[in-house]
Amino acid sequence: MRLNLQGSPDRFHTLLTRNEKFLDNVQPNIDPVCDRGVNDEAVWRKHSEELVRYASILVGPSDAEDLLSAVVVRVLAAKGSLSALEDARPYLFRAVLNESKNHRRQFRTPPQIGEAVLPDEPRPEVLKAAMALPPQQRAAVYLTYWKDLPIRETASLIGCRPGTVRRYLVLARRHLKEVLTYE
Amino acid sequence: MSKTDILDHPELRKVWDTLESATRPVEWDDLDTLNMPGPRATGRPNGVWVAVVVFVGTLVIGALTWQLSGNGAQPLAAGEAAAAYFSFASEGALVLGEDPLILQPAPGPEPQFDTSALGTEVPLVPASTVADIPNGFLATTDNSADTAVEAPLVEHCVRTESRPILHIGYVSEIDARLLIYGTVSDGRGDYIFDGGPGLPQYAVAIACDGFSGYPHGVSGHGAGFGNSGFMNVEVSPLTSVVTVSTNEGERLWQRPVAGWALFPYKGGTVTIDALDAAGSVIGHWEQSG
Repeated sequence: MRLNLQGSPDRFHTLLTRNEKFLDNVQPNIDPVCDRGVNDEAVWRKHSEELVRYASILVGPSDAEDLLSAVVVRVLAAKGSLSALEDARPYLFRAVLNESKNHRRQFRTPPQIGEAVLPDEPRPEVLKAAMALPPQQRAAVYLTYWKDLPIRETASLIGCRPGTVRRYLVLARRHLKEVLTYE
Repeated sequence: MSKTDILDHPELRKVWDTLESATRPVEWDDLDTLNMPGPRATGRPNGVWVAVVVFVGTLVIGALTWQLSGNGAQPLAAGEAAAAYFSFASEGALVLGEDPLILQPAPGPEPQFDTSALGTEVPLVPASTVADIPNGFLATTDNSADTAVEAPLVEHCVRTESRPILHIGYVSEIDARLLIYGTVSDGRGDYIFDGGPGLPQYAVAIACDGFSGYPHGVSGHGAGFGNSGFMNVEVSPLTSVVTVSTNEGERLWQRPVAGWALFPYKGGTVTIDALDAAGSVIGHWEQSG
Protein backbone atom coordinates (compact mmCIF):
# COMPACT_ATOMS: atom_id res chain seq x y z
CA MET A 1 0.00 0.00 0.00
CA ARG A 2 1.30 3.45 -0.89
CA LEU A 3 0.21 6.68 0.64
CA ASN A 4 -1.50 9.25 -1.50
CA LEU A 5 -1.89 12.42 0.47
CA GLN A 6 -3.19 14.38 -2.50
CA GLY A 7 -6.47 12.54 -2.47
CA SER A 8 -9.13 12.58 0.21
CA PRO A 9 -7.65 12.34 3.69
CA ASP A 10 -7.36 8.82 4.92
CA ARG A 11 -6.48 7.52 8.34
CA PHE A 12 -2.80 7.87 7.69
CA HIS A 13 -3.20 11.48 6.83
CA THR A 14 -5.16 11.87 10.03
CA LEU A 15 -2.39 10.12 11.87
CA LEU A 16 0.18 12.37 10.34
CA THR A 17 -1.55 15.57 11.21
CA ARG A 18 -3.21 14.99 14.56
CA ASN A 19 -1.83 16.60 17.64
CA GLU A 20 0.19 19.03 15.60
CA LYS A 21 -0.09 22.34 17.39
CA PHE A 22 2.13 24.52 15.34
CA LEU A 23 4.29 27.17 16.83
CA ASP A 24 3.10 30.56 15.91
CA ASN A 25 6.07 32.75 16.53
CA VAL A 26 9.03 31.49 14.60
CA GLN A 27 9.19 33.56 11.45
CA PRO A 28 9.11 37.32 11.71
CA ASN A 29 7.22 39.36 9.19
CA ILE A 30 9.54 40.63 6.50
CA ASP A 31 8.85 43.56 4.27
CA PRO A 32 10.86 42.69 1.17
CA VAL A 33 11.46 46.28 0.17
CA CYS A 34 11.95 47.92 3.52
CA ASP A 35 15.05 49.67 4.66
CA ARG A 36 17.45 48.27 2.15
CA GLY A 37 19.55 51.34 2.59
CA VAL A 38 20.10 50.77 6.27
CA ASN A 39 23.52 49.46 7.02
CA ASP A 40 23.69 45.81 7.97
CA GLU A 41 26.74 46.61 9.98
CA ALA A 42 24.70 48.92 12.17
CA VAL A 43 22.22 46.15 12.85
CA TRP A 44 25.08 43.86 13.69
CA ARG A 45 26.68 46.38 16.03
CA LYS A 46 23.41 46.83 17.85
CA HIS A 47 22.95 43.13 18.61
CA SER A 48 26.37 41.56 18.35
CA GLU A 49 27.37 41.75 21.99
CA GLU A 50 24.46 39.76 23.30
CA LEU A 51 24.55 37.44 20.30
CA VAL A 52 28.20 36.66 20.94
CA ARG A 53 27.42 35.80 24.54
CA TYR A 54 24.42 33.74 23.52
CA ALA A 55 26.45 31.85 20.93
CA SER A 56 29.14 31.26 23.52
CA ILE A 57 26.61 29.67 25.84
CA LEU A 58 25.39 27.42 23.06
CA VAL A 59 28.61 26.27 21.40
CA GLY A 60 31.37 27.62 23.59
CA PRO A 61 33.46 30.76 23.21
CA SER A 62 35.94 29.21 20.82
CA ASP A 63 33.27 28.42 18.23
CA ALA A 64 31.01 31.40 18.79
CA GLU A 65 32.51 33.51 16.02
CA ASP A 66 32.24 30.74 13.46
CA LEU A 67 28.67 30.13 14.48
CA LEU A 68 27.78 33.78 14.10
CA SER A 69 29.46 33.92 10.69
CA ALA A 70 27.31 31.02 9.59
CA VAL A 71 24.21 32.74 10.94
CA VAL A 72 24.93 35.95 9.07
CA VAL A 73 25.60 34.00 5.88
CA ARG A 74 22.28 32.25 6.22
CA VAL A 75 20.34 35.38 7.01
CA LEU A 76 21.87 37.28 4.12
CA ALA A 77 21.20 34.40 1.77
CA ALA A 78 17.61 34.10 2.96
CA LYS A 79 16.65 37.72 3.48
CA GLY A 80 19.19 39.68 1.51
CA SER A 81 19.91 42.05 4.34
CA LEU A 82 19.93 42.18 8.11
CA SER A 83 18.23 45.51 7.91
CA ALA A 84 15.33 43.89 6.06
CA LEU A 85 14.37 42.07 9.23
CA GLU A 86 11.41 43.75 10.80
CA ASP A 87 12.37 42.63 14.28
CA ALA A 88 15.99 41.61 14.04
CA ARG A 89 16.70 40.69 17.65
CA PRO A 90 14.38 37.70 18.10
CA TYR A 91 15.05 36.59 14.54
CA LEU A 92 18.79 36.56 15.10
CA PHE A 93 18.48 34.83 18.45
CA ARG A 94 16.42 32.09 16.85
CA ALA A 95 18.87 31.85 13.98
CA VAL A 96 21.74 31.44 16.43
CA LEU A 97 19.93 28.67 18.30
CA ASN A 98 19.05 26.88 15.08
CA GLU A 99 22.58 27.16 13.78
CA SER A 100 23.91 25.82 17.07
CA LYS A 101 21.91 22.67 16.47
CA ASN A 102 23.44 22.31 13.02
CA HIS A 103 26.81 22.87 14.64
CA ARG A 104 26.23 19.98 17.00
CA ARG A 105 24.92 17.81 14.25
CA GLN A 106 27.89 18.40 12.04
CA PHE A 107 30.69 18.45 14.54
CA ARG A 108 29.13 16.49 17.34
CA THR A 109 31.47 17.82 19.93
CA PRO A 110 30.54 19.30 23.25
CA PRO A 111 30.96 23.05 23.54
CA GLN A 112 34.48 24.04 24.43
CA ILE A 113 35.05 26.87 26.81
CA GLY A 114 38.64 27.44 25.80
CA GLU A 115 41.39 28.59 28.08
CA ALA A 116 40.10 31.97 29.12
CA VAL A 117 38.17 31.25 32.30
CA LEU A 118 37.65 33.18 35.46
CA PRO A 119 39.59 32.34 38.58
CA ASP A 120 36.35 31.47 40.27
CA GLU A 121 35.59 28.56 38.00
CA PRO A 122 32.56 26.37 38.33
CA ARG A 123 33.07 22.82 39.41
CA PRO A 124 34.00 20.68 36.40
CA GLU A 125 31.06 18.37 36.89
CA VAL A 126 28.66 21.32 36.92
CA LEU A 127 30.23 22.78 33.82
CA LYS A 128 30.07 19.42 32.12
CA ALA A 129 26.42 18.92 33.07
CA ALA A 130 25.47 22.39 31.90
CA MET A 131 27.25 21.89 28.60
CA ALA A 132 25.54 18.55 28.17
CA LEU A 133 22.13 20.19 28.23
CA PRO A 134 20.52 20.29 24.81
CA PRO A 135 20.76 23.74 23.22
CA GLN A 136 17.12 24.62 23.73
CA GLN A 137 17.26 23.75 27.42
CA ARG A 138 20.52 25.57 27.92
CA ALA A 139 19.12 28.60 26.12
CA ALA A 140 15.98 28.52 28.24
CA VAL A 141 17.92 28.38 31.51
CA TYR A 142 20.43 31.01 30.43
CA LEU A 143 17.85 33.49 29.18
CA THR A 144 15.39 32.98 32.00
CA TYR A 145 17.72 32.73 34.97
CA TRP A 146 20.93 34.46 33.99
CA LYS A 147 19.52 37.15 31.73
CA ASP A 148 16.45 37.30 33.94
CA LEU A 149 14.05 37.56 31.02
CA PRO A 150 10.33 36.87 31.40
CA ILE A 151 9.25 33.46 30.14
CA ARG A 152 7.38 35.07 27.28
CA GLU A 153 10.45 36.91 26.05
CA THR A 154 12.57 33.81 26.42
CA ALA A 155 10.02 31.96 24.32
CA SER A 156 10.19 34.66 21.67
CA LEU A 157 13.97 34.45 21.48
CA ILE A 158 13.99 30.66 21.36
CA GLY A 159 11.10 30.47 18.93
CA CYS A 160 8.66 28.43 20.92
CA ARG A 161 5.69 28.84 23.22
CA PRO A 162 6.01 29.85 26.85
CA GLY A 163 4.77 26.42 27.84
CA THR A 164 7.60 24.86 25.93
CA VAL A 165 10.09 27.03 27.76
CA ARG A 166 8.66 25.83 31.07
CA ARG A 167 9.05 22.29 29.84
CA TYR A 168 12.66 22.92 28.91
CA LEU A 169 13.25 24.28 32.40
CA VAL A 170 11.68 21.24 34.00
CA LEU A 171 13.84 18.95 31.92
CA ALA A 172 16.96 21.01 32.64
CA ARG A 173 16.21 20.82 36.36
CA ARG A 174 15.93 17.08 36.05
CA HIS A 175 19.29 16.81 34.33
CA LEU A 176 21.11 19.17 36.65
CA LYS A 177 19.81 17.96 39.98
CA GLU A 178 22.37 15.18 39.95
CA VAL A 179 25.20 17.67 40.27
CA LEU A 180 23.51 20.66 41.87
CA THR A 181 22.00 20.61 45.34
CA TYR A 182 21.35 23.16 48.05
CA GLU A 183 22.70 22.45 51.50
CA MET B 1 11.42 31.24 41.20
CA SER B 2 12.35 29.57 44.42
CA LYS B 3 15.58 30.44 46.16
CA THR B 4 16.31 26.74 46.17
CA ASP B 5 15.71 26.40 42.47
CA ILE B 6 18.79 24.64 41.15
CA LEU B 7 18.53 26.57 37.89
CA ASP B 8 19.41 29.65 39.90
CA HIS B 9 22.19 27.85 41.77
CA PRO B 10 25.38 29.88 42.27
CA GLU B 11 27.43 27.10 40.70
CA LEU B 12 25.33 27.26 37.56
CA ARG B 13 25.59 31.03 37.50
CA LYS B 14 29.35 30.57 37.52
CA VAL B 15 29.02 28.54 34.35
CA TRP B 16 27.18 31.30 32.52
CA ASP B 17 29.56 33.89 33.89
CA THR B 18 32.56 31.85 32.81
CA LEU B 19 31.28 31.35 29.30
CA GLU B 20 30.30 34.96 28.87
CA SER B 21 33.60 36.18 30.26
CA ALA B 22 35.54 34.06 27.80
CA THR B 23 33.96 35.75 24.81
CA ARG B 24 35.48 38.55 22.80
CA PRO B 25 33.70 41.09 20.65
CA VAL B 26 32.93 40.03 17.10
CA GLU B 27 32.95 42.97 14.78
CA TRP B 28 31.23 42.91 11.42
CA ASP B 29 34.54 42.54 9.64
CA ASP B 30 35.51 39.64 11.91
CA LEU B 31 32.78 37.52 10.41
CA ASP B 32 34.03 34.90 8.01
CA THR B 33 33.80 36.45 4.58
CA LEU B 34 34.60 33.37 2.58
CA ASN B 35 31.06 32.16 2.43
CA MET B 36 29.33 35.48 2.39
CA PRO B 37 26.94 35.79 -0.55
CA GLY B 38 28.28 38.52 -2.77
CA PRO B 39 31.21 40.89 -2.43
CA ARG B 40 31.81 42.24 1.02
CA ALA B 41 34.37 44.90 0.38
CA THR B 42 31.96 47.37 1.92
CA GLY B 43 30.76 44.92 4.51
CA ARG B 44 27.51 44.50 2.65
CA PRO B 45 26.38 42.13 -0.09
CA ASN B 46 26.13 43.51 -3.59
CA GLY B 47 22.66 44.88 -4.11
CA VAL B 48 22.10 43.50 -7.59
CA TRP B 49 23.32 40.07 -6.55
CA VAL B 50 21.06 40.11 -3.55
CA ALA B 51 18.12 41.24 -5.62
CA VAL B 52 18.64 38.39 -8.08
CA VAL B 53 19.05 35.85 -5.30
CA VAL B 54 16.03 37.15 -3.44
CA PHE B 55 13.93 37.18 -6.58
CA VAL B 56 14.92 33.72 -7.75
CA GLY B 57 14.89 32.34 -4.23
CA THR B 58 11.47 33.77 -3.58
CA LEU B 59 10.11 32.25 -6.77
CA VAL B 60 11.59 28.82 -6.16
CA ILE B 61 10.95 28.59 -2.45
CA GLY B 62 7.52 30.01 -2.95
CA ALA B 63 6.74 27.46 -5.61
CA LEU B 64 8.19 24.72 -3.44
CA THR B 65 6.18 25.78 -0.44
CA TRP B 66 3.07 26.08 -2.54
CA GLN B 67 3.66 22.67 -3.99
CA LEU B 68 4.19 21.12 -0.59
CA SER B 69 1.57 22.85 1.44
CA GLY B 70 -0.80 24.00 -1.23
CA ASN B 71 -1.47 27.24 0.57
CA GLY B 72 0.74 29.97 -0.80
CA ALA B 73 4.28 31.06 -0.13
CA GLN B 74 4.22 32.15 3.47
CA PRO B 75 7.31 31.15 5.46
CA LEU B 76 6.79 28.00 7.43
CA ALA B 77 6.97 28.02 11.20
CA ALA B 78 9.03 25.25 12.75
CA GLY B 79 6.14 22.90 13.48
CA GLU B 80 4.68 23.57 10.07
CA ALA B 81 8.06 22.88 8.51
CA ALA B 82 8.15 19.48 10.16
CA ALA B 83 4.60 18.77 9.04
CA ALA B 84 5.44 19.84 5.50
CA TYR B 85 8.51 17.63 5.52
CA PHE B 86 6.67 14.56 6.67
CA SER B 87 3.85 15.21 4.21
CA PHE B 88 6.41 15.47 1.42
CA ALA B 89 8.25 12.37 2.60
CA SER B 90 5.02 10.42 2.97
CA GLU B 91 3.68 11.15 -0.48
CA GLY B 92 3.80 7.96 -2.49
CA ALA B 93 5.56 6.14 0.33
CA LEU B 94 5.25 2.41 0.85
CA VAL B 95 3.56 1.54 4.11
CA LEU B 96 5.74 -0.97 5.91
CA GLY B 97 3.93 -0.98 9.23
CA GLU B 98 0.84 0.62 10.66
CA ASP B 99 1.35 0.56 14.40
CA PRO B 100 3.56 2.47 14.56
CA LEU B 101 3.34 3.94 11.11
CA ILE B 102 6.53 3.03 9.25
CA LEU B 103 7.04 4.29 5.73
CA GLN B 104 9.47 3.67 2.94
CA PRO B 105 9.52 6.99 1.07
CA ALA B 106 10.06 7.18 -2.65
CA PRO B 107 13.35 8.39 -4.14
CA GLY B 108 13.71 11.87 -5.59
CA PRO B 109 12.84 12.76 -9.17
CA GLU B 110 13.97 10.26 -11.78
CA PRO B 111 17.13 11.56 -13.50
CA GLN B 112 16.47 12.52 -17.11
CA PHE B 113 20.15 12.48 -18.00
CA ASP B 114 22.93 9.95 -18.42
CA THR B 115 24.26 8.97 -15.00
CA SER B 116 26.97 6.68 -16.32
CA ALA B 117 29.62 9.41 -16.12
CA LEU B 118 28.89 10.20 -12.49
CA GLY B 119 31.06 7.44 -11.07
CA THR B 120 30.00 4.55 -8.88
CA GLU B 121 26.43 4.33 -7.72
CA VAL B 122 26.00 3.77 -4.01
CA PRO B 123 22.31 2.91 -3.85
CA LEU B 124 20.07 3.52 -0.92
CA VAL B 125 18.41 0.15 -0.64
CA PRO B 126 14.77 0.49 0.38
CA ALA B 127 12.95 -1.82 2.73
CA SER B 128 10.14 -3.77 1.18
CA THR B 129 8.73 -5.07 4.44
CA VAL B 130 9.16 -4.15 8.07
CA ALA B 131 11.13 -7.37 8.48
CA ASP B 132 13.93 -5.74 6.49
CA ILE B 133 14.53 -3.35 9.35
CA PRO B 134 16.43 -4.74 12.33
CA ASN B 135 14.26 -4.98 15.39
CA GLY B 136 16.51 -2.72 17.35
CA PHE B 137 15.38 0.27 15.34
CA LEU B 138 11.77 -0.27 16.14
CA ALA B 139 11.80 -1.36 19.76
CA THR B 140 8.68 -0.37 21.59
CA THR B 141 8.65 1.26 24.94
CA ASP B 142 6.05 2.53 27.34
CA ASN B 143 8.19 4.87 29.36
CA SER B 144 6.69 8.03 27.98
CA ALA B 145 3.10 9.13 28.01
CA ASP B 146 2.65 9.87 24.34
CA THR B 147 5.19 7.45 23.01
CA ALA B 148 4.53 4.49 20.84
CA VAL B 149 8.09 3.87 19.79
CA GLU B 150 11.38 5.12 21.01
CA ALA B 151 14.39 4.77 18.80
CA PRO B 152 16.87 2.70 20.74
CA LEU B 153 19.87 4.69 19.61
CA VAL B 154 18.15 7.97 20.19
CA GLU B 155 18.30 8.27 23.89
CA HIS B 156 16.45 11.49 24.31
CA CYS B 157 14.24 11.59 21.28
CA VAL B 158 10.74 10.54 22.07
CA ARG B 159 8.59 9.86 19.10
CA THR B 160 5.28 11.50 18.70
CA GLU B 161 2.50 9.36 17.35
CA SER B 162 1.68 12.00 14.79
CA ARG B 163 4.88 11.33 12.87
CA PRO B 164 5.74 8.22 10.92
CA ILE B 165 9.07 6.49 11.05
CA LEU B 166 10.81 6.94 7.73
CA HIS B 167 13.13 4.24 6.49
CA ILE B 168 15.38 6.17 4.12
CA GLY B 169 17.54 3.26 3.08
CA TYR B 170 20.40 0.91 3.67
CA VAL B 171 23.90 1.29 2.24
CA SER B 172 25.57 -2.08 2.12
CA GLU B 173 29.07 -0.68 1.50
CA ILE B 174 29.16 0.73 5.00
CA ASP B 175 26.50 -1.39 6.65
CA ALA B 176 24.66 1.79 7.55
CA ARG B 177 20.95 2.36 7.68
CA LEU B 178 19.28 5.73 7.82
CA LEU B 179 15.93 6.20 9.50
CA ILE B 180 14.20 9.39 10.48
CA TYR B 181 12.09 9.70 13.57
CA GLY B 182 9.94 12.74 14.18
CA THR B 183 10.15 13.46 17.84
CA VAL B 184 8.51 15.62 20.39
CA SER B 185 11.08 18.03 21.55
CA ASP B 186 12.56 17.48 24.91
CA GLY B 187 15.29 19.66 23.53
CA ARG B 188 17.47 16.85 22.33
CA GLY B 189 15.63 15.90 19.23
CA ASP B 190 17.55 17.54 16.49
CA TYR B 191 20.62 15.37 16.54
CA ILE B 192 22.10 12.78 14.32
CA PHE B 193 23.08 9.59 16.02
CA ASP B 194 25.41 6.93 14.94
CA GLY B 195 25.77 3.65 16.61
CA GLY B 196 29.44 3.72 17.37
CA PRO B 197 31.51 0.63 18.02
CA GLY B 198 29.46 -2.50 17.69
CA LEU B 199 26.50 -0.57 16.39
CA PRO B 200 27.35 0.15 12.78
CA GLN B 201 23.93 1.36 11.81
CA TYR B 202 22.42 4.61 12.76
CA ALA B 203 19.34 6.77 12.88
CA VAL B 204 18.36 10.37 12.62
CA ALA B 205 15.80 12.11 14.75
CA ILE B 206 14.10 15.32 13.81
CA ALA B 207 12.41 17.33 16.50
CA CYS B 208 8.98 18.66 15.74
CA ASP B 209 9.62 22.10 17.10
CA GLY B 210 13.32 22.24 16.53
CA PHE B 211 13.05 21.48 12.86
CA SER B 212 14.44 24.43 11.01
CA GLY B 213 15.94 22.70 8.02
CA TYR B 214 12.89 22.27 5.82
CA PRO B 215 12.03 23.20 3.21
CA HIS B 216 15.64 23.45 2.19
CA GLY B 217 15.05 25.70 -0.78
CA VAL B 218 16.83 24.90 -3.97
CA SER B 219 20.21 23.97 -2.68
CA GLY B 220 19.61 21.84 0.37
CA HIS B 221 21.38 21.76 3.67
CA GLY B 222 24.76 20.14 3.16
CA ALA B 223 26.37 17.22 4.87
CA GLY B 224 26.80 15.90 8.35
CA PHE B 225 29.52 13.44 9.22
CA GLY B 226 29.24 10.40 11.41
CA ASN B 227 31.88 8.70 13.45
CA SER B 228 31.44 5.37 11.76
CA GLY B 229 32.61 6.03 8.24
CA PHE B 230 29.57 7.66 6.75
CA MET B 231 28.18 11.02 5.83
CA ASN B 232 24.63 12.09 5.31
CA VAL B 233 23.52 14.83 2.96
CA GLU B 234 20.33 16.82 3.25
CA VAL B 235 19.02 18.02 -0.10
CA SER B 236 15.92 19.64 -1.44
CA PRO B 237 12.97 17.68 -2.86
CA LEU B 238 14.04 18.83 -6.30
CA THR B 239 17.22 16.80 -6.08
CA SER B 240 17.44 13.85 -8.40
CA VAL B 241 21.04 12.78 -7.83
CA VAL B 242 23.68 13.55 -5.22
CA THR B 243 27.33 13.16 -6.18
CA VAL B 244 30.35 13.00 -3.90
CA SER B 245 33.93 13.46 -5.06
CA THR B 246 36.93 12.83 -2.84
CA ASN B 247 40.43 14.23 -3.00
CA GLU B 248 41.58 10.80 -4.11
CA GLY B 249 39.46 11.09 -7.23
CA GLU B 250 36.74 8.72 -6.16
CA ARG B 251 33.29 9.69 -7.44
CA LEU B 252 30.09 8.32 -6.00
CA TRP B 253 26.48 9.07 -6.71
CA GLN B 254 23.12 8.26 -5.25
CA ARG B 255 19.46 9.02 -5.71
CA PRO B 256 18.28 10.65 -2.50
CA VAL B 257 15.21 9.47 -0.65
CA ALA B 258 12.93 11.94 1.10
CA GLY B 259 15.62 14.58 0.87
CA TRP B 260 18.43 12.47 2.31
CA ALA B 261 21.47 10.71 0.94
CA LEU B 262 23.95 8.52 2.78
CA PHE B 263 27.51 7.87 1.61
CA PRO B 264 30.68 6.24 2.86
CA TYR B 265 33.14 8.76 4.25
CA LYS B 266 36.83 8.00 4.58
CA GLY B 267 37.98 11.39 5.77
CA GLY B 268 39.31 14.50 4.11
CA THR B 269 37.46 17.12 2.17
CA VAL B 270 34.72 16.00 -0.17
CA THR B 271 32.91 17.88 -2.88
CA ILE B 272 29.18 17.31 -2.89
CA ASP B 273 26.79 18.29 -5.66
CA ALA B 274 23.03 18.05 -5.75
CA LEU B 275 21.68 17.69 -9.29
CA ASP B 276 18.11 18.16 -10.42
CA ALA B 277 16.39 15.85 -12.87
CA ALA B 278 17.93 17.69 -15.80
CA GLY B 279 21.41 17.25 -14.39
CA SER B 280 21.86 20.88 -13.36
CA VAL B 281 23.77 21.56 -10.16
CA ILE B 282 21.38 23.04 -7.62
CA GLY B 283 23.47 22.51 -4.51
CA HIS B 284 27.22 22.48 -4.01
CA TRP B 285 29.32 21.99 -0.89
CA GLU B 286 32.93 21.35 -0.04
CA GLN B 287 33.07 19.91 3.43
CA SER B 288 35.10 17.74 5.73
CA GLY B 289 34.22 15.75 8.77
